[in-house]
Amino acid sequence: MKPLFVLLAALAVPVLAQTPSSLPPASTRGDVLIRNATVHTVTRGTLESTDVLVRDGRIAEIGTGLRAPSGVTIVDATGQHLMPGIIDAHSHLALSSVNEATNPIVAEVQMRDSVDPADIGIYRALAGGVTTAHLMHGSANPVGGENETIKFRWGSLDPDGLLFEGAPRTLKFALGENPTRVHGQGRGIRPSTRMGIEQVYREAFTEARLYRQRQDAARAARQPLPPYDRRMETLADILAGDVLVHCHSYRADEILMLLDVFRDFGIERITFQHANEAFKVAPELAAFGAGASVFSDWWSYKFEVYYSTAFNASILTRNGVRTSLNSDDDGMIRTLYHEAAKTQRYGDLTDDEALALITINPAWQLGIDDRVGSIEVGKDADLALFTAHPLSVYTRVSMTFVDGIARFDAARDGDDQRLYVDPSEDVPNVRLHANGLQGDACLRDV
Amino acid sequence: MAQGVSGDTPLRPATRVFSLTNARVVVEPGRVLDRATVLVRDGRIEAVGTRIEVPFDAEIIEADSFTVYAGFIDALSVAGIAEPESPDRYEGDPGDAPRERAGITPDRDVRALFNPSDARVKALRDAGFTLAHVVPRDGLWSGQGALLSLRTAGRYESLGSLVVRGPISTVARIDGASGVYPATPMGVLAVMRQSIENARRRQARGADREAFDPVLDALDPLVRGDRGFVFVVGGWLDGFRALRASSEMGLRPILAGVPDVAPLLDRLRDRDTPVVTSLALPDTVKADSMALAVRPPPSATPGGVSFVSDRRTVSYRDLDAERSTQTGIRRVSVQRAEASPSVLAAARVPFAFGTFDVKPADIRNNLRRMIAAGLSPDDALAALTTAPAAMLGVEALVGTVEPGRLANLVVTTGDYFADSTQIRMVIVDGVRFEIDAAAKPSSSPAIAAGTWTFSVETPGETRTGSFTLTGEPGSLSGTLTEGGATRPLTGVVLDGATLTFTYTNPEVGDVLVAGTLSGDEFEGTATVASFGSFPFTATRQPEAR
Repeated sequence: MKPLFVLLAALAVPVLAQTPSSLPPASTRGDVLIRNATVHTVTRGTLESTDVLVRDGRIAEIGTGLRAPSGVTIVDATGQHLMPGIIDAHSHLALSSVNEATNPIVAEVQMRDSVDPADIGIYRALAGGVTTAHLMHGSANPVGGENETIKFRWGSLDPDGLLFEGAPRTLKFALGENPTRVHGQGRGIRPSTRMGIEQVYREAFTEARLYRQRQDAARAARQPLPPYDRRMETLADILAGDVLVHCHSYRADEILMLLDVFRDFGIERITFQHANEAFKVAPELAAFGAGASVFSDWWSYKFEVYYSTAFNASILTRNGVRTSLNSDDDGMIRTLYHEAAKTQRYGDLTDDEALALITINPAWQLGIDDRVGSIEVGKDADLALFTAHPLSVYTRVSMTFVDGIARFDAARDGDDQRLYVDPSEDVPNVRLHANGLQGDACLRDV
Repeated sequence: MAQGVSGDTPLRPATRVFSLTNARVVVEPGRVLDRATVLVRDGRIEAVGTRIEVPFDAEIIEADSFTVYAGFIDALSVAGIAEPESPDRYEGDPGDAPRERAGITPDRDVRALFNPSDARVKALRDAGFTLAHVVPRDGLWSGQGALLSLRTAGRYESLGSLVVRGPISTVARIDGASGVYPATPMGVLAVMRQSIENARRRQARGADREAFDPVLDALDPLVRGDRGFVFVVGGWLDGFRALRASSEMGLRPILAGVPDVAPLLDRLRDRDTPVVTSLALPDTVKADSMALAVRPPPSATPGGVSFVSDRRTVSYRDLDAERSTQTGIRRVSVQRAEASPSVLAAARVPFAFGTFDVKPADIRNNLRRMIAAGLSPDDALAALTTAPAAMLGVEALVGTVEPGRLANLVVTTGDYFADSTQIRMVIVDGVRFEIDAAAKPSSSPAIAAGTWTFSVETPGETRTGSFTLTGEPGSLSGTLTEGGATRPLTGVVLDGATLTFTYTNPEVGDVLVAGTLSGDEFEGTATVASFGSFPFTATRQPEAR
């Protein structure tokens, strides 16, 4: 008999799977040469058989016949398509809590206190070519909390490692049925109607203006500062233009209402989220300079969402509104490139127009278009490599890079990519088919 | 605090001077005096040594063959504090609930809540704890903690005399309020930041006629740096959040909680953050052979990502294999929690044990699991004595068996961490509590004798066989049969529930088997010098009638 131990030790060859424990820390910046790809720059056209050189996490060179400096990994992308990492302007992924629903105004809460870097949804979204998401507070309140823009630096358990450093602050607003249902119908307090919501804003901004004046006056007079109110601080920062507003909305009338409020208070930057009726007021949105972040073809899930069309994104785009397509869903975030492709069926958008809906346009809406959203020298190397044209139904993601680091690689995709297994958690109930649908993430924790 | 005087209250002893003579005295971790005497007078240790002359007025307690430890200090405790009732639905505006309902009670003083007759106080004392840093149970600003003696007050003694140190800490928790603002962790952290900023502003204003504000008044000593700051969290993710919020608030926290500290380790080390480690552990996992084969990846380092790699089920339709894999992964994660204190010790992060979320009956077994996972017994003892004393700023008062310290002592029949050891007496402030050994819910001692069938899991193959053990602990012997050959066992030792033995397989050399007995089940490893360790499990066969 052969010594069994010898035989068996030889059989235990490790599988060459990428595992989270082998991923570099969030602070790492990569070097890579992606060779011979069809490069969809989005802002500067499509380049055939082109190389992209990444140094220290940024795009260093775009051209042909580029040479890899020593130590730089080469990815042969012959026959493949490279596009900017996809950006989802509306997500509730990787959050421990979504709604602080207990008050109509909660501008003081911050989603950065809720980021969960071990959410497996991040890895699944990476597998859909997504590199950045806008993690939003829910829509239970007229003024929700501060959102957080993150990069999918999967592998880090430190939530701060995922924060998109330098991204502007953004805040969630919500109009219509959600806030009136939670506060008006649920608790018998304002707002019960769309009129009430408008007054919540007008009073809050008026109060915040007074609050800031008092603080500034004390500072100028070198007097002790009056009590600090984080809620008012954030609202005053919106008035000062330091915080971009992203507003959950559906109907054309409420969109026009908020534009009026913003005009009256001198606030310039706003993106309307969902905005299913935005197509009705596209010229007004364009004139204001507002953005719209919409679904491709999702509607009729409540009364205020019945008047909708799959042409929404195309109509907005052709009217000069900076438009993006978002998922608002941990599942749909994996196929945003399909969502973009639908605008070619409904509205005949060009490739660049369609891809802009999930790259440079959401980047602009989040105030990070100088860093990501297109393939240009000097920008962050957040890139997605596809097996076919990204707007083809046959395409698959083969690699996704964040800061030049391959955080998803289909060829090395292991069975279990969980970052952390909680010792007090039950062993998962293993079964063939999951059942039950997830609820409306916008109203989680309400 | 209510007066604890009733007809049942024991009288003070006739003398408050006594000596424990001829004992093995563990002065502090790593320093032991054999055949030494500890002299106690009026609640303090008066002398310790091998040449102590016992004075005429001292009662002599012969402690030959006993071991004396410094009384344990519970670094974070809820003993004597009633569990909060779950509140009724709040009918008013949830955005503007009373602050007590919202959990904003930094003014709540634990001394006014402590009930020394609470069963938990006795249970902890029976396990060796003499002093506890007791804190309120709930609320985002839970209130103020104090150092309390774990005993009942004697007759003619006020309950206040149980307080060793007044408010020493302000306690924060990431606990959302139920149904009112702030209901989420992010709301809680927003409220905390605002109240600390306002406490600082109030202090800076220094106005002579500030409006009464119980919250800001109570936070004042904290922002002045006159009080410890304890942040109680659930897991590593809340740990990251608490550390960041603390640093934004300009406060240096003691972090309490975090069953598996590995993800946070670098952060704790960078900021020199002390940790209160819970004595609670997740339940052990029953695992089949396939699950036992799941191992943490060799590349996984403390502080790195906790993850089990390279488990690939044959097919996604093979549900049994997948279930086993998941069980094995879960088992490894439990092992990580068991190893957490040893990871802290290796990284030299100051840590002490707290009982805030453990069932007192589990404490000693959990300590044994932590020691089996790599924590040295000296580090474990330090985390029960000297480390909490230093963390709470009372190292001159408690934590060692030295003259001048409070007479807080634990008297045992041997090594505290051994399964067979019994605690015979716990002394708090010089007051003696005899532990009734008969009433002790002792688990029946492990028995190794019998015939066992075993299996060894090597990668891809299971080897089976049987072994037979005879004799009593101390004189065990036996044989092992495998592949038709029967061989003698050597070095058969049963210590508590830990069984070890060695046999020689001519093909691979010496095989060392070590593991834990639990009833008729044995779980451990078989180690072969040049090949590594493999899961080894055995089941005792029913005796033939």
